[in-house]
Amino acid sequence: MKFNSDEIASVIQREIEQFESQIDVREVGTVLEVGDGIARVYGLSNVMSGEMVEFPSGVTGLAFNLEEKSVGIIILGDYLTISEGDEVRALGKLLSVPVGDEVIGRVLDPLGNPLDGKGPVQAKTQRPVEIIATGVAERQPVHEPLQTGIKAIDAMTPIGRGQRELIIGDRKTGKTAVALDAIINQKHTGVKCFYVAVGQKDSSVALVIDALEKHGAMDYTTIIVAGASAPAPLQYVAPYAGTAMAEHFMFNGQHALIVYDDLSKQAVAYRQLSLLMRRPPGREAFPGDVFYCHSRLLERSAKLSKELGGGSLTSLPIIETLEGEVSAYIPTNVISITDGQIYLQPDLFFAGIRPAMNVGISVSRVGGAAQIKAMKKVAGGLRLDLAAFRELEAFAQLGTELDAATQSRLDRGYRMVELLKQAQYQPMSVADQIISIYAGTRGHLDDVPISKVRDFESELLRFVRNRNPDLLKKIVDVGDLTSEIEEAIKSAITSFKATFRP
Amino acid sequence: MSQVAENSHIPTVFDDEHQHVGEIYAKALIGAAKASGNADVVVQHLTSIVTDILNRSPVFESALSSPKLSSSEKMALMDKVFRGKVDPTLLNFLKVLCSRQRIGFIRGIQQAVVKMQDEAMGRLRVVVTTAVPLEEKQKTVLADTLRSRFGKDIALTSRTDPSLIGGMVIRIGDTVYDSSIHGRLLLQRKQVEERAEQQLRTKLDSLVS
Repeated sequence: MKFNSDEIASVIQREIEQFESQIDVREVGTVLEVGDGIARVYGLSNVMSGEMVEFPSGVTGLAFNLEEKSVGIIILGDYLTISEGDEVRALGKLLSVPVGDEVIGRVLDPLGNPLDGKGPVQAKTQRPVEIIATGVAERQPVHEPLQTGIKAIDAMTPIGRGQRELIIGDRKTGKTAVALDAIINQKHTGVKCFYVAVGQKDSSVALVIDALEKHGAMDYTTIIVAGASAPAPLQYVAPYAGTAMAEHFMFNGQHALIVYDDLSKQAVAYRQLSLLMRRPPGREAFPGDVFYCHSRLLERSAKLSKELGGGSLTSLPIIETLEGEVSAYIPTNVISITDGQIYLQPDLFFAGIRPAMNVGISVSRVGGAAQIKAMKKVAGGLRLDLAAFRELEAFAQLGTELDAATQSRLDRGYRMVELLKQAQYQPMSVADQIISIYAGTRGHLDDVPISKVRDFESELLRFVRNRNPDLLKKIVDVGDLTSEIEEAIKSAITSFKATFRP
Repeated sequence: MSQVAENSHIPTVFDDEHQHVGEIYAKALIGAAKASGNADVVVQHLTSIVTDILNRSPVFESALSSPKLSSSEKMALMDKVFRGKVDPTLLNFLKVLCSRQRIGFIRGIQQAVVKMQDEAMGRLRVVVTTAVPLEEKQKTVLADTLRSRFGKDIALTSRTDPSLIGGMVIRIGDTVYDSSIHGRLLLQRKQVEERAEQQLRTKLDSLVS
C-alpha cells in the first residue's frame, strides 16, 4: 500500500482555502478545582444542565451541578490533563453518540470512540445520549417473544420484545452467561444486540468478546465498555450511551436487545459523582435520585406502536447482590422498575443446577403474552409445579414415609430439574424446547433414570431432527400445540423410547 | 496572611465566604454612599485602596488585621493615612471593618461594590485583550461601537497579550468574542483537520495506489 502524498496535500490545501474566518463567540468559565473525575468551574453563567463543555486539552465534560456561584462538571475522559485556571467553554449541545449500522460489530467506549483498533466509527447519524422515554401513546403492549434459548427462562419466565427483565444474583452465579446465551440465540432473528460493560474487569470483557466472536454473535452485536479503570463519569454515562445506540434501531422499526452488565456498578459510579459534587447522601450513601437514574434508563426500553414502525428495545439489566440480599437499596429499586426478574442462586449453582435460576421467586410480569401458544400449553403449570416440588423436597428430607402419589410427584420434579439444566453457549430453538419440555411434563421421562435424563433429551432431539425434521418446522410455523402436532410429538417420543437404552 | 496575598494575585479563586460577606458589606457601603450622594467616588477610592495600597504593601494590611494592635490604635493609623484623601463615608466604613475584624474581606467587598455599582448605573464591564497596546482613539471607537451594540455604558479595561499575534479578544461577563489571529489559527487547525480527515476517508481508494 502506498499513499499518494500530493493528492493528500491538495485535499488539505483545499480545506485551508475554504476556511472562513468568523469571530468565535464562546461562553467561558475558569477551572477552580479538578480531581476525581469532576471539576468545579467559575463562570459559565448561562450554561444549562447536561450541556457539553470542552476543556483546552480537548476533553469534554457535562454540566452536572448548577450552583449559585459555580458549576460542577463531570469530566468524560482524562482529567489529569486539566489544571486550575484552564478556560472551559460551553459547546451549547448535548452529548451524543454515533448510531447506525456502522456501530454493529464494534467495541466502543461510551463516547463512541473505538476500542477495538478498527479505526473511527464512520457513522452518518448521531443520537443524544439522554432523551425522555417514549410516552404512553407511542407504545403497544408487549406481545412478541424474545427467545433467550434457555429452556428454564423461555418456559417459565418468558421475555417479550420490549420487556425489561432483571437478572439478579450473587457474584459467580452465571448472570452474564444467561445474558450472553440470550445474545447468541439472536442469530438469524435480526435482533441487534448491545452489551454494555460497566465497571467490569477488562479481562472479563475480553472473555465476553471472545465468546461472542466464537459463536458468530459479533456480526450483530455492539459492545460498549467503561471498564473498572474508566473514570466514574464514563461508567455513569455508558448505559445511556448504549441505549441511544440501541434506540436507533427501535425507532427504525427494528428490534434490539441491550444488556447492562451491571447496573449496581453504575449506581456506585453515580454515588461517587454525587458525593464528590456534595449532593446529600441518602440510604447506603446513594443520592436521592438514584432511583430516577435507573428508571429513566430502563423506561427507554419499549415496544413501539404500529404507527411508529413497531420496533422494540428489550433490556436485560444485571444487578449483583451481596450474600443474596435482595432487599438492599439498588436491588429493590431495579426490581420495582423492571417487568420481572430472573433470580440466580449460588447454592443451586454449586449443586450443578445451571442456569441456577430460583423458580419460586423468578417472575415475568408480561407472562404468557411473550410465549408462542405451543410453549404456553406445554409449560403452563411448570413454574408452580416446580415451586411445589421444592417445598415437597424440603419436607421429604425429614425422612418421613411418603405415599405413592407424593413419591411420584417428587420423582417427576427431580426429572424436570434435571431436564431444565442446560450447558453454556448452547441455546436451543423453541421447537426443541417444546419437545423436551413436553416429554418431561407429560411424564415420558418418569421411567428414565435421573442420571440419564440429559442423555435422553439430547438423543431424543437428535432423533427428531434426523427422522422427523418436518415436525420441528411445523411447530414453529403453526406456533400452536394442535392435537395433530401433539400426536406427532407423542409418537416421536414413543418410537425413540423403543430405541433408547439407558 | 500569605493566603490573602495569593488571593490578590489570582482573582478567579473562589471563596464562598468572602463573596457572601463581601456582598453584605457592599450593600451597606453603597447605601451609605448613595445617602451622601457620591457613590462613584467611593467605589473609585475603594478600588484604589485595594489595588494601590493594600496589594503593594502587605505590611500595612497585616497591621490593620493584626490582633496585636488595639482598635483605637488602628483608628488612629487610618486617620493618619487616609484622612482628607478619601471620602469620609469610606473612611468611616473602613473603621467599621477594622473594629469588626473584617478587614480581611476587603477584596470581596471591593469586587461586590464594583459589580453592584455597575448594575445600578447600567454599565457593562468589558475587558479587551490585544497583542499591542490600544491607542486612546481606538479605545473610544471601540467603546462607542460596543455602546451602540449593547445599549449600555461601557467600562473598558484593556490588557495586552503578545501571544494573540493580532486582532482582539473581547470579554463581557462570561462571553468571549474572539477575533484574534491566535484563536483563528486554532479554530482553523481544528476545522481543517476534521474536514481533511473526512475528505481523505471518503477518497481513501484514490489516494492509495
